[in-house]
Order: sequence, then structure tokens, then C-alpha cells
Amino acid sequence: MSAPRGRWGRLGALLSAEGSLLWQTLPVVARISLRNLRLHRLRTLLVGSILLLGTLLLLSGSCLFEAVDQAMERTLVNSVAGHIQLYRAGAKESFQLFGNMDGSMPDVGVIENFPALRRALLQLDNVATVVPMGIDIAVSSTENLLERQLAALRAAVRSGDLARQRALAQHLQRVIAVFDRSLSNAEALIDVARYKREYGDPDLALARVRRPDFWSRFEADPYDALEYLENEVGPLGLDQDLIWLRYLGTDTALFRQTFDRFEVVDGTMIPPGQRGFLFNKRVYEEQVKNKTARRLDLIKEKLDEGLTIARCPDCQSWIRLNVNQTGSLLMQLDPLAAEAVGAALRRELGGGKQQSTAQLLRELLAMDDQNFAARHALFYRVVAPRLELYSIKFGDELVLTAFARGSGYTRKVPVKVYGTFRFRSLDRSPLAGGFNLVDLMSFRELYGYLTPERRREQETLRRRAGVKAVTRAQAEALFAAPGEVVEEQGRGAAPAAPAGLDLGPSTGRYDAALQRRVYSQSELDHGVVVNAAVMLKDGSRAAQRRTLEQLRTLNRRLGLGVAAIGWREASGVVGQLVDVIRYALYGAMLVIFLVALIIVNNALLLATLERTREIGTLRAIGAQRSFVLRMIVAETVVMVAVFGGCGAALGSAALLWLGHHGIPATTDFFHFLFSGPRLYPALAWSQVALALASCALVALIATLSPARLALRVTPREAMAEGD
Amino acid sequence: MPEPLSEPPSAERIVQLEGVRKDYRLGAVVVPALRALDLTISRGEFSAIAGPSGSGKTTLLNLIGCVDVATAGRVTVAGQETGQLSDRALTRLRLFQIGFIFQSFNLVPVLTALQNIEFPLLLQGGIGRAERHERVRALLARVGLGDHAEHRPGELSGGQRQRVAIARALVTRPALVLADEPTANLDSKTGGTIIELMQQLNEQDGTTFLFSTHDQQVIKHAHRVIRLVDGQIAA
Repeated sequence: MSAPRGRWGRLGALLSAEGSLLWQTLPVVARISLRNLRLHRLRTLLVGSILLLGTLLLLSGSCLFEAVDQAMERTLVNSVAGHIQLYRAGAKESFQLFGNMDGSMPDVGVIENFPALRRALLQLDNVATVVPMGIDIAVSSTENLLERQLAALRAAVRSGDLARQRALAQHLQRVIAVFDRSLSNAEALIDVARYKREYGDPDLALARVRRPDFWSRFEADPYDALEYLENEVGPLGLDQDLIWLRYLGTDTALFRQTFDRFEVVDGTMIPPGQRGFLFNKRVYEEQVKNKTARRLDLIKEKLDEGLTIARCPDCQSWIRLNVNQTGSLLMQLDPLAAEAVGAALRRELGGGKQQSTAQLLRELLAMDDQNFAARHALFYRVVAPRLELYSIKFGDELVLTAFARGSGYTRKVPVKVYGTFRFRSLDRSPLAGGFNLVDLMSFRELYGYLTPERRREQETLRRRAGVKAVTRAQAEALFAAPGEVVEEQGRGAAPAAPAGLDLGPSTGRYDAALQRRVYSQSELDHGVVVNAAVMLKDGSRAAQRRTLEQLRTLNRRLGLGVAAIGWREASGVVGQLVDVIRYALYGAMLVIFLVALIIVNNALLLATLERTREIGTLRAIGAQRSFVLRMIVAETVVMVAVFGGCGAALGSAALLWLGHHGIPATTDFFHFLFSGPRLYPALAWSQVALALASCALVALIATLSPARLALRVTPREAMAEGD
Repeated sequence: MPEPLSEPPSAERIVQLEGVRKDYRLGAVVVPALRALDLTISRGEFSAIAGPSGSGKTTLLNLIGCVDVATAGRVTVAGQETGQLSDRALTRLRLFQIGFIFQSFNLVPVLTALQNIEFPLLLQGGIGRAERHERVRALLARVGLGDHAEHRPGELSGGQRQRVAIARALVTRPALVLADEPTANLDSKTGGTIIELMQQLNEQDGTTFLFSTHDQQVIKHAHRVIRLVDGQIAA
């Protein structure tokens, strides 16, 4: 044998040798390979189906993933993230559009000079818009049942509709009686002493109402009685709902122009430049809607998804809740409404005259698969119009309460509710669909920063109190002039207390004129924002990267003091979900390929061992090692071509079909992931090539050790039966 | 039966072994298979290597057939000293100078009789398809399988398979045909016809045949019998 050049060196030499012979022996090599594959059908099928499945999975997996990634990008970028997000450089925490894992918003400080930032960014060719934003969480409460009934009664009194006034007063009397009873029962459940401290002594407040002459004198002076009830009795109600609202404060007009996934569902858009609040449709339905109606909606959604009540434990539990809580439904119906509902239900459900409205409601709500559609329609036709379906209505004022970032004071800011909106494709996701929209001014106030009004108000207060502004340098001199009240004027030294920080108290008083005021663009722009979304003209991945780089360079050069991150990073867990899926996909592929590698390798190794004598014979009668190698590799190539090809063809066909018909999003999670009700994957030829190449790579790696084994077979093996 | 000749007179030497030793290593033990062997085979011989099991018949055939190299001594086949050759050169030597006939026929099961016989010609390269097929068909006719060209080994009897193997060994017109117990897997009647066929081919073409056997019926046909005992040629 010639001097060895190392195992791989020899292999290389063998592979490159005998060019002309390769072509001449190719038919016989192919014939031997094909016949061998056919002869060992079972093994060929086993190895082949692994290669087929691997290729199919890789191709469809990567194309599906690509589709999800692009859908998510479109949704996130066009609903709220923009291509790039900016926030104050050197912030304590990193910026997260959708908040921290615990639901809180990270403390990222504020951008003080937004107009300068926008001017600088618009110098970049690819920047289309820069939208100021601020995201935080506020709490608000709906009115309790007593308060709502009182409001209805006051409206009836004002309208002079005596019949309605009497019916409502009678109903209110009953509601208060029920409440009175439940309070005495509640002593077993609640800390009465503490309740009295917080809400006043209910006995004291109710004593007057319990007297029979209170109601008999009601008609004589309804306003006096109402005032007492509203001030003393109404606040005792315990059934008000606290609503947590994640809100996005922004230049609402610019926001609407920039983000095409945003659309108003009900009501109207906040008028440009004005204060106002838009509920997220999902939040509005979940938190503000009457619970019974909401549960019926949820059941309907499930049934629309193809489930049946019989197979949906959630639906069954919602129905039980509805049946058990007819009492609370009944409490909202005044006697006139209750009578109308009773009559209609008796007619529709065919009940006897002796059945009460409560019984009829229970019967209506005890739904099953047979009657759901009819009963659901009946509920909305007969009951819903007489209920207060939403405890907060469009046009209502909503008092938002939040902890101001700068001072830590609670701030109460009233806003007018204009309607509901949704981000198309994100609307069914609890993960990212939870933003409500508020104007920039209200946001600044809630966040603890001065608005023009607050600035003026405080200046007036200062003037009245004789406060002077001084700098730190002048402070020494102040000790020489006692009797004067001073306030140090910060020079932006501490990021926690930048200029414009509103440290005054807030009343949460609703001021209709303020709500109508139209702010100029300059007023909107001049004030702090927490973050800003940058929308690009060319949103391709390469352009995004390029612009982000340019933006960072500009930021350093001009000292803009912002940090810039891409939409994916800004979307935090939500954006990184795609990465999680990506790594899960890669992981799964790796495992599949490793398993395939091991199985294919073993099968081929076994096949080679079985053919030792044959290989030995071929070597003895004059076949070079290169021929043996070609023979082994040819089998692999044929298998990759046939089975990998079939896998790629099947995968392509499936993807083309799915691309045409779409994959339905069966759950909210998929709805979010697919960025819509259906995902339409696209077949990319590069992915087909990649899948086939991966299949070939795995198959060839699996062939390495069998090939080495085959190359080590000596012609002596052919003679093995001898001595 | 002719007496074994140590040196064929005035004939071309196709194989020459001088002081050849072959040891096998079984773990730590070195087992001598051939010891200091000298042998010459001339062109046109029809010789048998005889001896009991383990006497070294197959080892000797392996050395002559260039599928193994000697531990010591010199083996020259068709004028080339095998100890000096690379694996590649040895393979070429086998392909162009030597034909093999195996005890178990060793045909490629997935190829037809014709394809099996054609195979070495394909490996040699440079011969057109028409010529290849003509040569193969002629040989098939000579070994009496003219009608079985398209049969696969599985469809042939043992004797027929060995005829295909003989044709495969001869198709390259080798200087030397080596047969390792060619009749061992055949019944005595078939074995007889096979050995007669080989003898016939030897006589007609002058092809040199060297076969190992311990079948007395076969030994009878040999011009010369080389008897091996314990790795040495018996006197």
C-alpha cells in the first residue's frame, strides 16, 4: 500500500480520482444502488420515511415560522411599536412596551425635549414619523348599583316622568332594603369597625331612610331626598368594580395616522388636540360589560369556534353562574322593566302566569346546545335593552387614578370616554391587546408632569404665596433674607425631578371646558414623553438595521440622550415569543435530525456489514476503493433525491394549499401568533433548497461511518470461507 | 496422475514465490500460515493446491491473487513484485491480470448473469458497450448459459452460478485464474463438469489455472499438484 496521507486525505484522493471511469461505471453503480434499495425495501422505507418526514417538517416548520414572524412584525410594528422605539438613555430599567412580567411598567425616566428629538430624527431619510408616547397603569372604578339606581332616579325626577319616578323609587327602596339586610348579614364576613372607619356608620346613614315617612315625603321634595341618598347612602354600596387600565398616552391624531392597525370600533375618535379616553374594545367588554351578557358572549365565541356546551366545561360553568346570579340581574331592573321582561319571557318561553320574572330569567339562562342560539337572541332582544349593559358609557366621565412617577402622589385625572378601539389582529390577545388610549395631556397629568393649565395654576399659587425661584448658587444669600418662602429651581440635575414635574395635589374634578379645549400641536409636543415610536418609510429588515445604526450614530453625535431599540426588543416577551418559537423549532429540528442521523446511520451500517462479502468480492475482482465509496454514496444520494424530494414536494404542496386556504387560529393565543384569524404561509424556494440541503447533509453525515467501514473491507473478505 | 514439478522447464513464469513467509497475528500469538515457501507457476499450467484444512491453501492463493501481502519473501505476479505495490496498483493488477473463482460463487445478487460478467470490463473502462456485450455473450455460450443472460443469480442453480463466475473470471482475458475450492459447494457431478469446463478453457485458450481443493476427483484433473502441509510444500 502507498504511504498513507491520513484517512481523510486518502478519502479525498479517492473521491477526486478516476474521472472518466466514474461516468462509465455510473450506470452500473446506479443499477447496483437502485437494486439494493429495492431488494431491502423495509430498510429503504424506514430510512426513506425518516428523510421524507425530516425534510417535510423542516420545510413546513421554517415556512410557517417565517409566516408567523412576518405576521407578528406587521402587527406589532403597525399597532403600537413602530419600527424603532426610543427612550431616555441610561434609564434604570430597559424599556418594555408591554410592561414587565409582573404587569408593572418599567421605570425608564422621561424624554424632556421631544420636539428637538423629532427634528433631529426627521433628518434621516428613512424616518417617516416620530410618535410621542407614554404608557402606564391607572385604576378606575365603575359606579356601584346604588349609585347607578340613584342616577337613573334623578334622571326620571328631572324629566318629570312621574310613573317612571315612582317605579324607580319603589325599586330603589327595595334595593336599599336588600342592601340593609345584606349589611347585617355581612357582619359575620367583614370587619365592621374597619368598614365604619372607611365608609361611615351605615346604621347612622340608613336610619333616616328606614323611617317610613322618608319615602312618603319623597315626592314632595325629591331633590332633597336624592341629595341625601347620593351623599350618604350611595357610597355605602360595596359592589363597585375596580378596573385596572393600562393606558397609552399619545398624540391621538398622529397615532391614528401612523398606526394602520388601529381602528375605532364603537363611538367616535377623540377629537384632534382634545383630551379624551378610548377603551380597548376587549377591556370594555371584559371589565365594563354586564357580567351575564359578557358570559353569554363568551359562550357564543366558544360555539362559533366549533365547540359545544356539552364539551366545554367553561361554558357549563358560565351557564351555572348566570342561572345563580339572576338576582343581581333582577336588581338592575326597575319594576316597570321587570314586568315588561317577565311578560315577554312568559310569551316566548311559554311559561304559566304564576311564574315570577326571577323564575323566567332563570329558565332563560339555563341554556344548552339545543336552545342556545334562540335564548341568546332572546336575551339580547328582551333583557339587554332594559339593562345598563355597560357600566361606563360613551360620553361618561371616567376618573383615572395613578401614582405620579415623579412625586409618588396619587393623581386623579378625569377624562371623557369617546368610544372603543382595537388593534386589528391583536384584539383577541390578552397579552398585548390591553392598551387603552388617552390623550397626551391627561397622560402627562397622570404621570405627574405639568400641563399648561397646571403650570398656570401653580404659578398663580406661587405668586399668591410670594414664592420666588432661586438657583442653588443663590441659596447662600437666602439665609440673609428671612421671612421669604423659596423654592429651588432645578437645572435638570436629577433625572427623577426634571423641569415640569407637577408636585401639586390633584382633585380629579371634571371640568367640561377643559375637556373641550383643543391643544395646539406645539402644546402637545412641548412636554415630557416617556418613549417615542419611529415609523420608517422602508420597513424591510435591512433598512431597519441600517436606520437603527444611523439613528444611534446621530444620537451620539448630537447628544440626544436617547436609547434606540428595534420593535422586537421593545415588545419584550411578546416580541421575543417569536424568538422562543424560533429556538423551539431549531431545537426540535436538531432533535429530529439527531434521531434521524442515528437511525439512518445504524441502518446503513447494518446494510454495509451485510454486504461485506459483496464488497470484498468487488474489490477482489478489481474494483478500487473509490468505486466502493461511490456505490455507498450513490445509495444515499438516490434516497435523498427520492425521499427528500418527496418530502419537499409534499411540504411544498401543503404550504401552497395552506397559503391559499389559510390555517385557522383556533385559540386566542394562535389568533395573536397568526396576527389574525388565519395564517397564510408562503412557500419560499430558498427554504425548499435549505430543507433539501439539510436532508442531504444529514444523510451524508449518516453515510460517513458506513462508508469508512466499506472502505476498510479487504478483498480477503471474499475468500473468508477458506482456511 | 502427473508428478508435481518443482520447476517447469522453458516456460514463461507467471507467478514466482521466493522464501515467502506469512504470519497471522491472533492477539498476542503469532501463527505462521506459510513458512519459507518457494514456488513458480508457468503460463498455461492447470495446477491444484491440495492439502488439509489449515495447511495454508487459501493464504497461498491470497498472496498469489494480490489480495494479501507476504510477511517476508518475494511474490512476483505477471512480472510485478506485489510487496512493492500500492493498494491501487494491486487492485489494477488483479483487474487486468487475474480472474477469481470463489467457493460460494460471490456473484452480485442484484445484477443479471450478463451484468455480473460484464462488470470487470466496466471497471477496466475504455471498452464500448457493443464489444463488451459481444465478449460476454460469447463467454456465456462457451460456459453453456447462452439462454440465461438475463437471469439473476437467485434464478440459477449452483452449477450455473459457478459457470457465470467462471465467465466473469475469464472476461478480462487474464493471465491467471485463481479458484478457491471451486467445487466445494457443488455436488460431485456438477463439480466434475465445472472442473472439466475449466480444463477445457485452459486447453483452448492457454489460460493459466491455479485452484485449491481437497477433492480427490478434482485433483485428478490437475497437471500438477502442489501439496501443502503446515504451510510448507510437501516434498
